[in-house]
Amino acid sequence: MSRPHSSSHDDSRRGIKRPNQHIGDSSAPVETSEHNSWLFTEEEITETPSRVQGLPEHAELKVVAKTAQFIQECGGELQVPQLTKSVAVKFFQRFFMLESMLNHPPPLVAAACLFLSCKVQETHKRLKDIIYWTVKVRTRNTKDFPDGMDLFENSPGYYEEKNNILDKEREVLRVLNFDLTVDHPYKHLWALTKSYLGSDQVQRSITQAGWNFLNDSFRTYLHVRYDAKEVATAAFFMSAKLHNHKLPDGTTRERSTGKRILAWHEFFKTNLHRVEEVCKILLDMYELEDKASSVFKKGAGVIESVPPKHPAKRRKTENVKLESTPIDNEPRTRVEPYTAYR
Amino acid sequence: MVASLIGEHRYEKVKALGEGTVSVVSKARDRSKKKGDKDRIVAIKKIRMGHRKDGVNITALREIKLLQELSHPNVIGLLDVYAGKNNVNMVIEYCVTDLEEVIRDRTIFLTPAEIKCCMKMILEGINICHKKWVLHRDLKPSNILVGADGNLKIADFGLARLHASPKARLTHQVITRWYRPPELLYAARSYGPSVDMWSIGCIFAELILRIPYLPGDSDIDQLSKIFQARGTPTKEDWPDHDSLPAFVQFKETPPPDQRQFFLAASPEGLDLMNKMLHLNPQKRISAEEALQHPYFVTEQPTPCDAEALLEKIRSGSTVKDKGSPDEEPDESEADDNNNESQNAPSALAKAIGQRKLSFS
Repeated sequence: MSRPHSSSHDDSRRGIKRPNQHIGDSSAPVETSEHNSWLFTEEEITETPSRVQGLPEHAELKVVAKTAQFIQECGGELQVPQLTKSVAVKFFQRFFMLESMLNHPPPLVAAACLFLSCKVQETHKRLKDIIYWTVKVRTRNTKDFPDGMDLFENSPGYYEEKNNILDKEREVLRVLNFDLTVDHPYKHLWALTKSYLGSDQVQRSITQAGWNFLNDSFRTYLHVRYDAKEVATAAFFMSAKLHNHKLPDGTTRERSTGKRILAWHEFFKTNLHRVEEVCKILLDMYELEDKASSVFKKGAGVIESVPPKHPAKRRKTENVKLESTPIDNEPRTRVEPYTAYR
Repeated sequence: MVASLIGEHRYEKVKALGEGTVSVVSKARDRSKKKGDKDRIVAIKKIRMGHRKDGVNITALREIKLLQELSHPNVIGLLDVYAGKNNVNMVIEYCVTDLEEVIRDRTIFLTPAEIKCCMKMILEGINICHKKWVLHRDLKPSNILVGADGNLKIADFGLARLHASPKARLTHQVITRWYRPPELLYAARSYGPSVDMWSIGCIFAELILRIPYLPGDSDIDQLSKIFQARGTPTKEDWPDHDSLPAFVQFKETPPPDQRQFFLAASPEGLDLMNKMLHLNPQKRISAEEALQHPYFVTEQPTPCDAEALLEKIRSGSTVKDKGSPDEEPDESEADDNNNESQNAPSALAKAIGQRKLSFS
């Protein structure tokens, strides 16, 4: 399975021409490894289509963090396993490596990704349930719907929402080029804790901590930059550190056979520098969220931070106009426009 | 020009091959490949989207995902996927014919070595599926294709799924009835790779007999046919079979002597078949064990090679299409089948091809 080479794909939309590369060039070198073709360099991540269209970095990262939270919440309400949720997040992040957040409303894409990952992971959910919960979670704590909006099959606005999600599902499939295989960091973490930690008690607590680190890691762009094994190794290292558990660093030997015990980072043959980068990004994220820095707390949403002349901005103001003149005493039925998460 | 070919502009449909409930398969030529390239002729399976109810067809998604993970000469190869206006197109390897056609073709006489070759290839294909935790769940001769290189290829993963957890409740309404094992007929909800092995056992018998081995008219009739041929299960043989949801007590019959039904089978072949058609799924042989069975390892004759098998199959009367890469499509048929993408694409089509194609 090949995928149009990521960077050339981007360039064509941005109008940047790179020599010797064409979309879908069958003679271009194709990466064979299925997860490697979805890893991007640091440079590519700072030049995502959204950024190129003028979305500032903090706004983009906020959307990424909020989406992970959003999918986590919706998935929780729908009672799907963690794997399904993380696959949805991965689909979402891959999608926005190739498409701009200004052209595709992130909450809608997130709903479509969740719907798709439920199918792919064999944890089927009916579309009406997906719609009900994504709308409810999205509109929670808004002025009109403190508990979230109930959108049932016969509610007005349901049909529109359904069409939007189905259209986005196809869009996601097209952009992902039907590449649905995802490598899960959770199973790698499990392999690590099983092979390095003897006693049950330690194993359980460290696995739990690592598992939480992995859950949190989806709030960053880590998973489109680093391999699942690298992320798992970093999470394993951090959770062992948290529990003050010393991991073999490659100098210890097995007592009976005298064989050298593999260092923790050699288990998956990871590059120590890259693992360190992962740890750093994770810690930075915690620090940023801890500080509740102005960017995260009251920072501008996606639309607000766009230059005023952008078409998305105009659309937003039109929406506002439309909403500001509701007929009195009539129940509000319009679904919230997909601007940002609340 | 080659460089800009993507999606539907890359493939030129030659003729329709067959039609299923939700899909149409047609033969096509890959424009990006030069004349004489091995995989220039491909098959395109066009799956209509189950529109506006549950979004993109789950069967198509399953098949695409599983085929991406499986790569083996005895499993059908997925070369490309692209989306059309209202459908998903899977570009798969072009195959000459399927095993059902071969079995039905009275002019082909399969020697023991050729049957052994078929069985070996089927087992190797299913072994890789089971190793990757994929259950096929619809094995039958018409889903086993004969590739252009003579390899048998397992195809149609529309009912397949991953089986990770033994606790998972799976549906028992799978596998075409004639190839369905007794535990599924008894409505077992948790099962494993052994269901595929039963189907392969039935295919093995069918290769020898040249008629379907257990052609039941209904689920009950299927069970009675199975027990007629294999005897009823006993308490010692299959301890908890009577606790399955749809258990029906049949008049107890001892297993008949298999030799009288399979005169042409070798002793080891018969032993392998008995192990594949063991009533108790727990005791049924696995694909990996089956490949180590003396039938393949020690017993003469050794399996023939794939090319020889292909020669034999091509000599039959049903295979008119030799599927050779150099074969040029019949222009008149191409005219009938697709007007929009025949011959060289127009300037407009090329321009569209360079932009991304949207769904709606």
